[in-house]
Amino acid sequence: MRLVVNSPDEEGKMAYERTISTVLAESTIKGLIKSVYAYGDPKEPVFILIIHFAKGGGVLKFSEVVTLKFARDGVIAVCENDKLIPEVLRILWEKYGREKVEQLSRYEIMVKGEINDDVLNAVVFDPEKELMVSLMDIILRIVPEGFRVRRYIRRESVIAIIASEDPIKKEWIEKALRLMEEGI
Amino acid sequence: MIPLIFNGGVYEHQEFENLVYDLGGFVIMKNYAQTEVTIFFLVPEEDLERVKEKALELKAELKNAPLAGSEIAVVVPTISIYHLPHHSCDVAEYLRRKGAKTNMVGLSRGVGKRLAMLTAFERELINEHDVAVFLFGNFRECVSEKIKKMLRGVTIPAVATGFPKIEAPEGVEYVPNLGRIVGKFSRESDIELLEKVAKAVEKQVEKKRKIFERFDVPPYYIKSEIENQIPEIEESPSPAPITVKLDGVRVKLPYEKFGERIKDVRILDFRLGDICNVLPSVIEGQTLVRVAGVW
Repeated sequence: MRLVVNSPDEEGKMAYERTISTVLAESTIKGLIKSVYAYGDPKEPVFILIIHFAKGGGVLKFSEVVTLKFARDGVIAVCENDKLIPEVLRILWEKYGREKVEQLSRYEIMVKGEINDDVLNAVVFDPEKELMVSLMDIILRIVPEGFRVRRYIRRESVIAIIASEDPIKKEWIEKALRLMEEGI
Repeated sequence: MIPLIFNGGVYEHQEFENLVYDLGGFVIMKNYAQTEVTIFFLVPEEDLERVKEKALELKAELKNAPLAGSEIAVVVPTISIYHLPHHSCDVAEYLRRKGAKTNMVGLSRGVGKRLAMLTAFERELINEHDVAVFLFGNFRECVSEKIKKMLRGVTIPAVATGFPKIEAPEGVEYVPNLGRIVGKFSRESDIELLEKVAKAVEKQVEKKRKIFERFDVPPYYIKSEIENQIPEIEESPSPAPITVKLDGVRVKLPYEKFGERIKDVRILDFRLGDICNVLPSVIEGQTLVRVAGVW
């Protein structure tokens, strides 16, 4: 991963390098981030942050993570992934109501009735959504809090944030767009 | 009188407290943490050996408390959840271990360069303390502009920290290299910075202590007299119902109800209201007692 910090203020640059590297080291998606570019000019005042990231794998559907066993009065859904069980339960509760869904053990959920196709095709895990949540967390930690006027620009696998105290100027947006295309 | 911190088990700590009182000392604050107890106290210099012996007998630890008896405000521009853990937590904790009673003040409009300001309430609240520690950020431009703006109405001695090396306004102790640090203070250089802040605060406390030394009735004596004469103070849920400050005490009882009774407390041959200013604090439900006539 590459990290570049630019600023006319040399001391501020040094301090921000430490701040950003600490935030990234503690993040859960540090493996997915390719490069980070930050530019801060307190005289303007503006802070631009550009993050290039890799996309995660595809979505996981209900039928891919759950195996079905047929019992006398319904179906037993078995999901052996601890992280996905809450989402599987949520989908079943939403469709059949709490009275018809019962968790038998850590991995087994009993459903009184039949499981339809629309449940089987429901999305259990969307890496894109998870990635964006973690990415927003990183951004909020890095960007100076006083810069409350913010503009987010998202392309395929790049995100740029322009933050300032004053209304965002056109030249800052142009600079961010140029940096997004060029990469670092 | 020497300020010290006793750190040990709860078992038989009452004996230690009794010894402090027998020697003519005072207990400033006492905190329980499960089976541990921390006592901030003062004893006469000549009896130091006896206190050490007793602490050894109880297998407790004794430490110097250079900041004991002072109330310090740690002022931060923001305490937002996105920026946790804040470096202000470490600064406040380090000062607490040196014996100070610290209060964290998170400002409502403290962030930004142009937007930053102190509200009237915040200014009054900070001025009630003995020393204020202002923690600023990383950029030179922002720190040098904010330091002037923030300290304009502050009348108490102040310490400021920030990453750049700048010229601080007169009378303010400035500690550089301590900007916004994300995460815990774990490196050796970080601990050195905390030590520098503590030293700067100590310097300001000493200056103020010298002025109030001349007053015949010390604040910890006022505290023990209020405790003896107003038994309702024991019902206060606060960990330090009477906080000792350099220029008086903060009593955590409402002024409207207890103001007159606090004024009537007997100190030697005097009434407390005659030798001190008793006034309501800006914090609801608290009363300030300030020693008068020392200036």
